[in-house]
Amino acid sequence: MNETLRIQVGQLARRSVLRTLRQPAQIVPALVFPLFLLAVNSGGLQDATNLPGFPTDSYLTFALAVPFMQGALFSVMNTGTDLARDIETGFLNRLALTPLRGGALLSGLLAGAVVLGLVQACTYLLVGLTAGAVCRAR
Amino acid sequence: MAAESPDPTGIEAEGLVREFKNGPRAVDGIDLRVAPGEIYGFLGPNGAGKSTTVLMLTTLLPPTAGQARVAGFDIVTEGPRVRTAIGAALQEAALDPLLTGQEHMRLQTALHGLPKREREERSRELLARVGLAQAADRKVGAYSGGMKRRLDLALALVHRPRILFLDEPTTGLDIQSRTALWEEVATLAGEQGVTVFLTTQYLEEADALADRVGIIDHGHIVAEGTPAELKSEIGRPTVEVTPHDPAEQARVEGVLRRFGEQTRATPKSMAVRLEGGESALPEVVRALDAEGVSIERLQLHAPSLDDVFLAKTGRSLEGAEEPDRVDAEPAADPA
Repeated sequence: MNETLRIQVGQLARRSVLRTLRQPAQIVPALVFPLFLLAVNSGGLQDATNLPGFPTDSYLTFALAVPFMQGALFSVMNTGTDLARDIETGFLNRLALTPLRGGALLSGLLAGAVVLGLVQACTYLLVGLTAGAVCRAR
Repeated sequence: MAAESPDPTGIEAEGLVREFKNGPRAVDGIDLRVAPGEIYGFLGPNGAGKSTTVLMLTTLLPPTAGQARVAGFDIVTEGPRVRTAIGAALQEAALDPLLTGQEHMRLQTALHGLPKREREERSRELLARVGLAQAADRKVGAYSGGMKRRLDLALALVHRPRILFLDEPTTGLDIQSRTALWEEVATLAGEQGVTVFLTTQYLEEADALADRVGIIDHGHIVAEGTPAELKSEIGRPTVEVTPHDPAEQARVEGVLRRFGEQTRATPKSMAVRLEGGESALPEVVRALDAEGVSIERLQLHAPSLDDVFLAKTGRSLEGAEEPDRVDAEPAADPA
């Protein structure tokens, strides 16, 4: 990646992360909702591990993958909404009037989503491991 | 059109057309020539085609037909080079309400490729220039309309553009903010030689700021020239008389008709365009006195750009907007 592209991606990613951090309504549901579902499911479906061939003894370990997917879904939805808003408000036109490269625009927006996704993933992993999920398969 | 523009900081357009799918021709074959360092006022009612023209000249919307060169570059085939030469503040101040003024400047300076050490300096300089130094660390969502417009202008100037497009920059602003913006634009053109293409629906804005004015209506340029030239085409001033007693309107009308053609006035007053120019005013006063009419108010109006618009289109600029016409909606079915 050349210097110009790196700066452009970096600045747009920075904006994307700042936008997300300044909207708790985007972060909190994306973090809490998947964990809430994880708690409900792993609390009530432990008996499913008795099914023949079930891959683990802990339903929590089995279900921990779901929040990762839900979190990623939230991140991508937020990114899509942000892009739509930028088009609607004309902010994208402002960016289009700079020497910004199309790839940098997309990468910048996605970089913001990736940062949020990583924060979510770390949180889910930490909560899951604390609650008793195990890292190795049976 | 010449293959190379002789003027690298001006704007030239020939037969520029923009037609929307299933819609009217928002811009219908306009020719333009804006000289370097000039403030060109593009005046017209809503829906006349002003913003569509700006979007085409700034390369954000491809023309359906015609050619244009901005800063010497073709708007269709040399878009990136046009964009490096121009700055634009479009109709809506497109700002991110969650970012601060300083963060906007940082983003814009970085995207324009300014060296890191120059970014902070340029941001500080421009924010101070538009009077936002104190508000630089506040989120834009808390800015007033005037502050947003000034930040928009500062953002358009970060890369020192040779040509500046301002699309209705003062719409919705109070008179104080409007005057401050006018001063800034006049300074840019006067001291730094920036060519300014300014659209407006305010007559007084075009009159006060523009070196030359193009009046656009229904996608056509109906008149072009300096404000003084355009007004002198219309020529004659208007005298407006309001009698003390509304019942005497008929008598006032009878007197005034001797001096010229009747024109628009308020319900309580009468107005005529003076055939004999300003020098006929003493005669009008004497005639009204001789008639014994008691006058509440007598005003002499110099010709305005509204009179020019009226003369060219048969309609007044104020309230001339066409609700059924499409203007400046690039997302709306580009052809």
